[in-house]
Amino acid sequence: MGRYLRLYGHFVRFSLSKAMEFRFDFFFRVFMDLAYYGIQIAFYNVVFLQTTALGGWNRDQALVFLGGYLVVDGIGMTFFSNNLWWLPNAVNHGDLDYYLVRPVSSLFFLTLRDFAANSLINLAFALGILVWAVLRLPQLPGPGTCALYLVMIAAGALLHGLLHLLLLIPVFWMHSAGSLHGIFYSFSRFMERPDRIFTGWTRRVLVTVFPFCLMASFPARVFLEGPGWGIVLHFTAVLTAMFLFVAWFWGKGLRAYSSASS
Amino acid sequence: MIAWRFYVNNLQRLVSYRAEFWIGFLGTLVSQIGVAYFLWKAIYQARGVESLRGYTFGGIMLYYLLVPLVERVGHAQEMTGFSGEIYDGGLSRYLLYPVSYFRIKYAGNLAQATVYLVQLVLILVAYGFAFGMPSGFSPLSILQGLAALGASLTLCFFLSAALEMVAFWADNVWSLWILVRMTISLLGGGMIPLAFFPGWARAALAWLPFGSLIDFPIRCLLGKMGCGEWMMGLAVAFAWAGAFGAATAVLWRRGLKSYAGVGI
Amino acid sequence: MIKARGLSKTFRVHKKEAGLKGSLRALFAREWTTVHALKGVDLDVGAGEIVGLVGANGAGKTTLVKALSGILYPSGGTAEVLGHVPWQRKNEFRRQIALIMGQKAQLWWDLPAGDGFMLLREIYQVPKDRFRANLDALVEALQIRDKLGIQIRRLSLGERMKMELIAALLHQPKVVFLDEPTIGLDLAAQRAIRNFILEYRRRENPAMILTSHYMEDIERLCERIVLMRDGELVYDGPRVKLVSAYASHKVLTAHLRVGETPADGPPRPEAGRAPGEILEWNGTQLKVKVDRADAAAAASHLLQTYPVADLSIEEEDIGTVIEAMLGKKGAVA
Repeated sequence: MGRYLRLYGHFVRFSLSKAMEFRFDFFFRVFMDLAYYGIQIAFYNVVFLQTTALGGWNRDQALVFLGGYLVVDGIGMTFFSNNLWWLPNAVNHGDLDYYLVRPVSSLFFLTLRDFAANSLINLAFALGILVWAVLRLPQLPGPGTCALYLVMIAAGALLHGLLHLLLLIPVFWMHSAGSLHGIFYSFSRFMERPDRIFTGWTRRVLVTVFPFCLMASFPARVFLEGPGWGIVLHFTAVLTAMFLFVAWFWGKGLRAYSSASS
Repeated sequence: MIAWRFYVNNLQRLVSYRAEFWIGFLGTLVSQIGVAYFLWKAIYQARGVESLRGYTFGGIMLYYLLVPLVERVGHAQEMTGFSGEIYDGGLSRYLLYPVSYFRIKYAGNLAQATVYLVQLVLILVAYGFAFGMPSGFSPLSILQGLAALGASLTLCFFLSAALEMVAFWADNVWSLWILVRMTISLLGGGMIPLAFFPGWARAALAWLPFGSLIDFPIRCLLGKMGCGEWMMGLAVAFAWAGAFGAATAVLWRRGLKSYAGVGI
Repeated sequence: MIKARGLSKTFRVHKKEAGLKGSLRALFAREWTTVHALKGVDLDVGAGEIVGLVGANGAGKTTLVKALSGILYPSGGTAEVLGHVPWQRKNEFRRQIALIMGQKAQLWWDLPAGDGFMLLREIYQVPKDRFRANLDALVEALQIRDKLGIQIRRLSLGERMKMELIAALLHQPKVVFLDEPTIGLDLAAQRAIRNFILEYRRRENPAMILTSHYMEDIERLCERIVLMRDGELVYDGPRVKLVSAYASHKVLTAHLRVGETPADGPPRPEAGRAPGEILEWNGTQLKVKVDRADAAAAASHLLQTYPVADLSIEEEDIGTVIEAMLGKKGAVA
């Protein structure tokens, strides 16, 4: 609805002016994320000193995968991460109260209010890394595949946000938040590596119920090996199911909200 | 001794964070080791060899098991609360106590480290029952390992202290700290054992403090350390700890001059 | 406009023993207790009424307000506010209510009030000109126009509360819940806010529920009082009736003509009269607490015995009355 778009416009404006206030923090976050990118690239380089193929990809292909992963991460950091970080706090300290009383989706506010301008800059760098990695490939796929790839990357970022939210909803019952963030960040590690190194039941879980491996690997596979109906269908099915489940689970959480009394 | 009271207090507080104590720990353990397991299985299979750079597959898995355990003992509580205390004036409270601020913090640090050391021991024992102890493991290696852990603990404490001093002048220290942690993770052997780095990198890293925090204590425990190498490692670790300690002292004095005690 | 029947709410809270042993035990098993925050509350509030909700901390006042505003799902009972069930949280319902909690800020900490109001305008979809008019009127009434551009976190407590009040009333709600709106404010701010609330009532005729620990709030704003104790209503009726029916004493204050007072100590009541309790005696003022029935007699006694320049007869302070009632066991008719 137009209203939500206008509200989001306000969010972006307010977040930008707030970001400009703490300049040291702003630049430092950019620098920190860039260091993270550098470390990931260094890691892959060291690994490929020991082997020529990983998860079905050679070094150049793996770097394209890495670029895609960094973009997914960048999108998540820009739109969702800051908000989700504070969500358990809002629930535990009763900040949720005011959102529940307004004729607006509380979830909208809680997940999108803070637009991380510094992450937008990092996102630009991540896109740069992706383009650099892609240009090193001997052969580029057609425009249709590229478009599909970009759509899947964006969808992967959405899935990332959904998964994070999913793991935070238990705070309505648990009240102790630190471990929930910890679980998400721990399992995010699975996302950083090509999905085909995982085998057996682990892999099955990681591409369905906790689809950490789906978000960056599947788009990369489509890009590097050509689109296949199987992959795209699988991806769409998991995304839809996750979306519906999180919406339902959030409703359950609100019902159980006991609202810290003043 | 007052510091002892802080030690017990901290221990109490830590044990009360029930869910975080177990879930957080298990989560990190499972994910770090899980990813490493699949990653290295793929690599060893692709290369088709028994051992790479001195590690068998089993050996490298033990390495990864030890990484989070050793990291926690070393990093323990650090001084992360410090910047918060500057920001909201909580530091004032400590300046009034008749005990050195750093001694209090170090006591808290030790408390946290004790808990993690217990974890480390328990898990090693469990590993020993399940898979049998690795060949290099011996009373000597345990001793070397404990000494290395002590050095790592002290080094990390002063490193974090020096970093946290920045809070006297800057708004936000945690992002600095995350950056350092990431660097330590890569260059200290948390992501890949340092043995796998190219020769020139290994030579440089031997002089830097990062390896002392992860790679060094683990190799001690696994018995991969000759005595000479061990002493060198300890020397490097304590030298860096001293350097950071000196930096902390200087920054502390200058920072206190500008500390306004503002806050709620 | 507000109708509640048999509202109940229970919470489960876990207990922990003190000390290290307790912490270790809690690591493996937890003990839970049930807290009954509301026990079958019935309440009706009509348009134009300001109902004062009074009770000790933990009596259930805030829980009741949260249930009626739709924040909490009750464990039992029903409620209807403006024809809607609050906890269904329909947008139509939420557009017509407002909640102000004195201890929790609703405006965004890092934004200036003006920006926060803009967001609210968008949320409540208030047409631009009506929004301008409302904002101007509210800002004028509270005299706070020059602070609109300052971030909320930099305002003083009084200024912040005024902004909170404006924020809550921008969309002209028909039902307003005020949970301790004057807490921590200085006298001038308290007065400004009370007058403001009365003015809003005069213009819009909303139903209001006010929770407060300040008796002056209750006395100035509420004609009707609801007393809560341990999750139950123990009294629901007019404020004046509360005092006249349950205040057992009146207070007589006699200002004496200076220079003609007897030189010796506190006067003793004459034999045969019911004794009054002397609250204050400082040479120029005598304050006496007497049973209601004896007020007239005591007054004439004072006038005869002392050189009285001025005599006033007052009801007992409502706070004392409420305290006494809340201390009683069982329901009060």
